[in-house]
Amino acid sequence: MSDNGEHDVFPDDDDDQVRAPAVASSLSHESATAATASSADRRNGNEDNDDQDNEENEDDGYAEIARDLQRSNGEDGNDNDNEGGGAADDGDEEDNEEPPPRGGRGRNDDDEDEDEEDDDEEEEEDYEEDDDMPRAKKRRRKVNRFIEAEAMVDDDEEEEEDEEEGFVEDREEDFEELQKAADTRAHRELDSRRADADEMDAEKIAETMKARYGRSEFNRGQYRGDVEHIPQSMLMPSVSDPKLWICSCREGKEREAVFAIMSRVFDREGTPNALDIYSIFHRESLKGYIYIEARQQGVVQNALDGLNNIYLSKLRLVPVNEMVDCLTIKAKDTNLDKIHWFRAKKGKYVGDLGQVVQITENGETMLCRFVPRLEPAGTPKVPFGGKRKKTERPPAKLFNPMDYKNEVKKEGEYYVYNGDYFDREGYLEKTLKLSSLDVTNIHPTLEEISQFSGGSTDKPDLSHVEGVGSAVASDFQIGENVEIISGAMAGISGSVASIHNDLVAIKPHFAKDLPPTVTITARELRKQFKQGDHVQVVKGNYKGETGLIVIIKDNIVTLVSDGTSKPVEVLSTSLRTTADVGVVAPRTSPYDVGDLVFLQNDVAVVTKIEGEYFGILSQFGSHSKVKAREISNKRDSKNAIANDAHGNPISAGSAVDVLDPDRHDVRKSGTVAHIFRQVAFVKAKDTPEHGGFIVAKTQNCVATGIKRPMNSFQSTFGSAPRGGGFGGPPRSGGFGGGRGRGNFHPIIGRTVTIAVGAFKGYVGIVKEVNDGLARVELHTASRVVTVDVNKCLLPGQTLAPSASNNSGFGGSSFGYGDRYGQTPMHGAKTPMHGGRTPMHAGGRTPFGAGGRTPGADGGRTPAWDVGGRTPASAWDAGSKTPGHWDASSKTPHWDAGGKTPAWDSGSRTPYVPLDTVSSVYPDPATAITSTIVPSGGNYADSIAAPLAASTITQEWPAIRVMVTLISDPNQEAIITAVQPATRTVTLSLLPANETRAGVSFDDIKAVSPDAAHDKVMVIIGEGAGQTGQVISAEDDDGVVRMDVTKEIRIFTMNMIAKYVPA
Amino acid sequence: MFFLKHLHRTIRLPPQYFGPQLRTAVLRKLYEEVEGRIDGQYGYIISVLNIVEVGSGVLQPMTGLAEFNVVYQALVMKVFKNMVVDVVVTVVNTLGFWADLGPLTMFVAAALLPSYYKFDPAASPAAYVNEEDNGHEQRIEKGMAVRARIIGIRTDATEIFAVGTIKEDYLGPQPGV
Repeated sequence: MSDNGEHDVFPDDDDDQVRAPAVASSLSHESATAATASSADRRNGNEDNDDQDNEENEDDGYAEIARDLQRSNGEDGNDNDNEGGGAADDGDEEDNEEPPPRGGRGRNDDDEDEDEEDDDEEEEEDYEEDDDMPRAKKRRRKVNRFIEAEAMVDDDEEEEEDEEEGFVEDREEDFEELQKAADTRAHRELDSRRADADEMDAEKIAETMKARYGRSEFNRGQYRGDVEHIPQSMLMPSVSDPKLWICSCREGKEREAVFAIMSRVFDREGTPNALDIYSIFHRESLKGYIYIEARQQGVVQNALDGLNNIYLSKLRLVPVNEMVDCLTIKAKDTNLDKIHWFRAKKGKYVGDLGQVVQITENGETMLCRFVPRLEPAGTPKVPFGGKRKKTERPPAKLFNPMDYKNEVKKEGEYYVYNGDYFDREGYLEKTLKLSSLDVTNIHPTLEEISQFSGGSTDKPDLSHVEGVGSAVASDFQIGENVEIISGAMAGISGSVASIHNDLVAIKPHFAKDLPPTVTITARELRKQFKQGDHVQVVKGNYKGETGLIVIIKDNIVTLVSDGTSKPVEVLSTSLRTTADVGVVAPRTSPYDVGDLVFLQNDVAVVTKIEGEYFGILSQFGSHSKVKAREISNKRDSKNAIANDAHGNPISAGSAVDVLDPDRHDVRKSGTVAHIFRQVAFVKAKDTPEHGGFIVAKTQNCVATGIKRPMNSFQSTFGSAPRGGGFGGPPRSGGFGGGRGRGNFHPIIGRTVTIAVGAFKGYVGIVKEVNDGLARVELHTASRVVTVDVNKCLLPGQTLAPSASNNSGFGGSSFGYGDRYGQTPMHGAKTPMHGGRTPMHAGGRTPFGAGGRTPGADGGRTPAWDVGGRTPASAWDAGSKTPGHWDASSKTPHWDAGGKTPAWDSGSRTPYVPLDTVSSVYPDPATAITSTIVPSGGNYADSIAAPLAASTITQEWPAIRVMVTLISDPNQEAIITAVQPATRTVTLSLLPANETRAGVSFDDIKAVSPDAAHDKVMVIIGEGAGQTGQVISAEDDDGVVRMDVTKEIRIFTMNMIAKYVPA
Repeated sequence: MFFLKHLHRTIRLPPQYFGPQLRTAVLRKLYEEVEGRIDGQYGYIISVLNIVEVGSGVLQPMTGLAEFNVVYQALVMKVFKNMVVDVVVTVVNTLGFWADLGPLTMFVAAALLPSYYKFDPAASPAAYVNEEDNGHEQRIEKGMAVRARIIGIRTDATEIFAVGTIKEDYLGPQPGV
């Protein structure tokens, strides 16, 4: 029957290990059973009947009436099953009337009961406790029956036994006789009672019923909520069922003992010593105990007597309400309701949300799911024993076996990679110790949960959300509107009338055919809101925020925050209707959303603050969560400048469009929040993810409004990447974060020669640079002197650059000398050796004079070369590929520039190139031609052969490039051979494939690609000679996927030419 | 919805105004204090149209201020839940759009737009576009007049904020306006 047993068993504890061996309660319970049996007999014995069926029906009828009456009394009548079943059990049912108050839990709640019965029971209890032999009990009961001529309780038990017993055949014979004796009496009683009942009016019946059942009904009422949705409640053991004893035995011998007893039972079967035992079992989880199911303790003792490894002295009765626990096999997720989600406390997944898949029986380890954080495929493995470089942990991403093709094994349902198991959906499954997990106060965010449902927030798998979304009673407040979400009454809404433990009484709004209040467990409820309600978030990450509800989808509510006007998704359980406008508590964190922060090996922007965690978007575009201590510092990047796709400078605050490298048609517009080297963190207006931040390479950005943060010099002259290194003060370099470098200065550690002053000619090592002053440790005198950093010459360097810089631009243009000067100088060495004078003469003079004489420029900064090649506007074109800039010192441009002899002639005819260029632009062919122009039209003549060789690399004509003839623009041709020495090409004229040799470079013009999918070759600039495919061509720009690198790059049309693969 | 309401207010006037221009001073103070403000009960007080009565001033013993009970007639705007209003779109983004309804701001979440409105991020200005309509497409972009229904209202001390929907018949852009 119902009552305590199941209430306790079910929702609360399943920790049978603790509970099963509870002795104290078992004793009292036992005595209660016996005691109440007797009192029940007194009352109800007359109900006995020889016709069991008939009687049952009868009783059922009564129960029915009683139930109806109860219901109208405000109790809810949900346990009809129990009631019916109970009534059918007649005598036993009566037994049950008393136990609840004794069963521990119910006791406190039930004072009136106790008052009445206490004395009686106490007496009997004492008595009972003295003799612990059930046999004695039974006998006494029988005696009672004789005296009172009442209930056939035991008889009924026997009846049951009859059905249940498998192997015990014999019974106590006197029962038969007794029953007969009682039968006639019972008949009479029943008849008279029926007559009475007919005469009684309904009210009286009600009274009677109430008197008889009311109290027990009341007791049960408290647990109704549970009862209601546990249909097995009828199957629960009651006091009338065989009892369960637990006996200690030697650990590890449980199984043996069980078999020993079993064989004993079989041995004695059919003999007078037969053992009336129903079952024997032991639990794996409970070492050192076996369970025996029997009716009487004597039987059990008999069965165990003399067996090895059994400690008979430790035989105890399992309280009826704990019996179920003993047999309950833990369901897969018994505990999961409570710790469905967790966070790892240590290891690679520290702080990550995980999901419990399964708990092992011992409850110490759990099978868990994570969103894996794997090194991308192809990451070199750290050799065993090798020092592992501590790196930023990889981003969480579902496992895709295709990414690790060769290293993945398939094992049943799982993929195995690197010893880890991944399920089909790509989650990592791991067995972890409970102690390494944080299971309390998890507060997973919807984003995290959505990761576990396939990564889409649009349709979070509610089965995943369930564990989080289900409410507890404390979520509710009296008066709140709620909706019942499961059970028979699902869909009914009402307001909370009262809350008691986990039970919530609800006043249904539309109470047709419903009692005025319905009691239900909190987990079956959901708060009900309406669109437009003003609510406050009472827990979780958004705690304190208030807003208006916009969307309600199951238990996920989207509200528009009052403060930020941003939509916030929360679970309805964490909301409460409010009239206030919430103020989010001031943050004490040193970092704020939008800060550029430096992590150990990464640079990122803070996108979100969640308690102690920061959501960050790293420069590689990965999004992760870190704690404050993982952030080393924050920077601003006010002074960092980089170049966009068109070579325009962009810096923090610039408005840009971000091109998606994969989908050229997608542009996102936003404002540059930070620039770090070649990476721009852009705050996009219409990107909801990552707090609106996007990471993009600067060359994928296009400045939409030209912002000129620098002085005019830089914006004109220095608009090219050069702006950083050349013109500006060293800090404002295209080198983002250059400022943060503090003392870092490329010249530090270099051996320099001091060019002026008292130490002129001394050689030393630069130790430190502060405000343009270098502290140089002299080789000779072993002392440190301070000199202007511009007066320190690197080997092979002359004073020229610095000096001219100073004179030309004023101020400390150190950037030039120290940064870029360095490399080109190396490059420049070669020509310098040969032509030192020209350098001085050509370079310096104009510089001194104009400061921006291109010649001088060319001479010094090989960038000139770039300018020369794409003459559109030397500066613009040069900066077209900002990538170079980053690699400043390595970039081939510099080298090329250094080597190219062009500067020589360039310095001679400084203005020619620009003029020429502007007139011919944007015709690529001529533009290209003008590459040569710096050396004058007679380039070939003026340049010695060896130099020409080096020039060849810069000649654009390449084999299989499609060209047209300038002399005959309609004639298309493909270059089949190039004769750089004579500056002629051999063409295969289309469409006839007619060959024409000796066509001058000057007579051909590259054909620009005109449609997507055209094959192209880069003819000038970085990567010249590489081929690719046009993804899109718009106006002057072409987006090209490079064949080899698969990189997406943007070129102006004059940099690329149609290419016809062989 | 607009209402003409008789309202009253107690104006406290410092002694410096006690003199020939007293009534003007009282009224000026009234205008300052009530126009453009929000009254929790009546909504926006847009304008004081008419002064019905200026009570006689009563000096406050402790402060020396004079209190005047002023009864005035005001044009007020109060919005109600479920009210259908015409609004002007001010901001459009993926979340939805914001619109002005006179002095109050309304937000219409993307989810509260009919499903056939798709956000077009490429458009400039950003817009929600109804593509199903062959021929002329319907757009919701900045400056458009839109008819919406209010589903929620939040009243602060200085502003009224409403959440609206256009996911119903007859709601949405009003091209003619």
